Amino acid sequence: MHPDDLPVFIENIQYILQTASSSIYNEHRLRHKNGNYVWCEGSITNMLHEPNVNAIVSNFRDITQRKKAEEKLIKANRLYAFISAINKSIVHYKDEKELLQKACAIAIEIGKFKTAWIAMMNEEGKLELVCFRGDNALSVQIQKLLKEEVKSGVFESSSVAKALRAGTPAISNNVLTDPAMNFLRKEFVSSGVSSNLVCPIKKSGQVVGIFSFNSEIMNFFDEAEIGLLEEATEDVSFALEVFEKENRHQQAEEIIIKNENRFRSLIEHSKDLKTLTSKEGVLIYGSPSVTHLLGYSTEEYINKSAFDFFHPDDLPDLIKNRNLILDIPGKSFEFQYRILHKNGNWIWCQGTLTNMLHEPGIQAFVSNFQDISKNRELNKRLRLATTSAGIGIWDWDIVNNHFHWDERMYKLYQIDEKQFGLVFNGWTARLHEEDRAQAIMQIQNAILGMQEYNTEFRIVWNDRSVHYVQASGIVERDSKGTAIRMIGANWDITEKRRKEEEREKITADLIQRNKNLEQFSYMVSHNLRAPVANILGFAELMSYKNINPDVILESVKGMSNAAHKLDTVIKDINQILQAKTIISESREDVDFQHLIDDISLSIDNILKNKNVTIRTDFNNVGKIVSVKAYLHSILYNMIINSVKFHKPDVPPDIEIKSFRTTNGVQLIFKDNGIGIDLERHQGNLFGLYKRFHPHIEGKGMGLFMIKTQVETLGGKISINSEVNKGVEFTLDFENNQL
Amino acid sequence: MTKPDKFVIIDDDVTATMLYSLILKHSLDRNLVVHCFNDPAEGVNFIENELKQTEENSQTVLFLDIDMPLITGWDVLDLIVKMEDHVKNQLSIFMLSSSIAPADKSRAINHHLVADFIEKPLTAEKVRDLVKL
Repeated sequence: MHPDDLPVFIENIQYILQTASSSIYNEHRLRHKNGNYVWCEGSITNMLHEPNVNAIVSNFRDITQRKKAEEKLIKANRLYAFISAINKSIVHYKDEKELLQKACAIAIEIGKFKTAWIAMMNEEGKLELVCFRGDNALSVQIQKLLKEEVKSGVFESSSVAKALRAGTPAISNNVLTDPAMNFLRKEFVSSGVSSNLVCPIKKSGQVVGIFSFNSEIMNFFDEAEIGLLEEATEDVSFALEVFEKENRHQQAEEIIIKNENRFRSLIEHSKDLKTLTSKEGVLIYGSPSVTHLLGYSTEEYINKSAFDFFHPDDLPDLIKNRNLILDIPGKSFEFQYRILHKNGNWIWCQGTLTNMLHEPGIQAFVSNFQDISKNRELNKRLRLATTSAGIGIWDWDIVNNHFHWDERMYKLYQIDEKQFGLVFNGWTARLHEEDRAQAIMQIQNAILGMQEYNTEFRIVWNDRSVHYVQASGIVERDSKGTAIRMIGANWDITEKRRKEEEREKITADLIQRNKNLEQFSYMVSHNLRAPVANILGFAELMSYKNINPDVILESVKGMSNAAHKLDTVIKDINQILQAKTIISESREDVDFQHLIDDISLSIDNILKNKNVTIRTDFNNVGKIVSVKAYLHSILYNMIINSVKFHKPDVPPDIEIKSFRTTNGVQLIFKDNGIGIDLERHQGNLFGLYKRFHPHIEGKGMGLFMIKTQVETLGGKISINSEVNKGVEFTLDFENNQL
Repeated sequence: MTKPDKFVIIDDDVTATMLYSLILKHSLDRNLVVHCFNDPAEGVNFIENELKQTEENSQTVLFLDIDMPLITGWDVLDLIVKMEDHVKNQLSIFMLSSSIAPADKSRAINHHLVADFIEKPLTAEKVRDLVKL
């Protein structure tokens, strides 16, 4: 019999010895042959008085199973109580360390474990003893183990290491024999520990610590107990996870709140207006600047339809663009619309509307805009100014070679956007061929910073007409000085240039006329003075004493000659001056062929005598608007000249043709005469009294008169000739010019 | 100037050459020979051929009109410049002009072969002045 049961058993025996046939119930353990005790229950009866028996009869049966079940039940109750207590404290405690210490205490107090301890990983990944219940000596030894201040291999083979590695409980139901308990055996035994269970504590699936339970009972941990303790540990793990999540959540929340505050403050203080509208267009939020700019209090616009605030003319465009982005998350469009102020004015606003319906925190259309009515007003003024001045504005994004032209630019160049193509080449293609290289170089110089951009060039319209453009611009640079943008203006100066050219022409004309007049006056004075000098000379000669009568006679003859000469010159001058006076005769259609026929008839004798041929071709241009008398005189003089200066053995042959030029009509007059040495006489050709053929009679008036008359008609005359190869005159008359 | 041996006038104006010839004869010597040329080319030929044959110390006065057609007085001067020194050394050249252009006068007096510039008409007084030189 088990020694523990013996006293009760002996007491029971003595009790029944007092009374014959008395009986008593007894539970006790009896030792099996194999050494194990077996629980038995039965009755002991005093049969000493029975002559046939004369003994104490024990009647018993094996109750080991029932007894074990009872024990188990108690143990289970204890563990359930432990888990329950653990869970209660999980709910109660909000701090990891407190919870773990409580868990240890519960394990001892309610779980009735001999010792219990928890170790958690620190930041370096090493286990640290967080709480311990039991003998101090054991605690010291455990800390040594955890700090791995042990011989190599000892920690690795310990149950703690096993549980850490495997992530599952490590069981040691007999600390006396289990090699994993080698290191702690002595301390375990001295503190009465027989069984050891190490359960891993996990956070998010990661082992972060261990919970060690130690029982004085050998073979304490069977499957059910392990399961329950694992569960308890898991509950602790869960609690720890919750703590961490809560902690993290709190941090996140703090960040969000901080950001929101920052964002809010940005919104509230920004000049930009921000509104949130629902998918249907209802205003959900408006930044304080809405009130500031548009005059409405928050109550006056929140929950109202945003569409009510837009100008009716802008509304269709708004709705159209809004519909386009309605189903595209994150999509936005830029707008320039008029929004109604509380006072009834329309405010021009520019901004973007973005679809943020998909953003969980927003779920709205976000509108971001600002008041540009001042800009609008300025722009309007600028446009008025540029339009009335005919100034086109261009803006060139150099980095992307993208141009922006305003309306005036297109008008100035007479092209549309498609033709321009919004690129640099689109502009250069419009430039006049002769100005292109220079105009491009000026842009390049401006970009390089070598000179300011202020220039003039010609452009060619589609109808081939040429226009003068004045251009100026400024270059924008980034921090490194690289040109990134160029803005400039173009304006039409064609009219100005035409006038300038006209003025230049008039000036050149005046200078030429002045020069001609100077020349004329010089020639006149010279030619008047020559005969005068002769007359003076003869007069003086006659006044000498002792003069020979023959000399007087000769002198009178000489004086007479000189006087005649003088008279001729004065008549010539009169003729020239008449030719130069502004012609009052009205212009008329002059038929070239009729003119030549008239002239031929008037000098019929000469032409026949000299066997002159006049060939004409007026098929290109038959008529000209001019003064008939002048043209007659011009052509008459030219024909006479040709007859006069014909080659001795060759009859004169004259060819007259007309042509149409860009500016008017051209006459070409060609003969086969002796020609003029142009190289020698270039400067004097049309000079008064210039004679190039002294053996042929003449005063040097012909060409001078021809030129004078051509110029009076507003035409030009040029000559081409070589000695013995005839003369070719080219007469140019501008259209309807007199 | 010692009394010149020869007088040459080159002027396209026939009346002028007649007048100057008369004035020279009247103011110097009735029997004076004056060579008049209305065609400058002929005058140039005469000077070149005639003066080649005379002695170097003989003196010839040339009255040269500036304003002539085809060959001007300046052209004649250019031709004379090209002649041999023997010819040039015998010449005293007086440029004649009815011109009132100052440019002609300065051009004339600055030419190394030109003795002086005389404004037309040539008078007895002017002739006597220049012969006194």
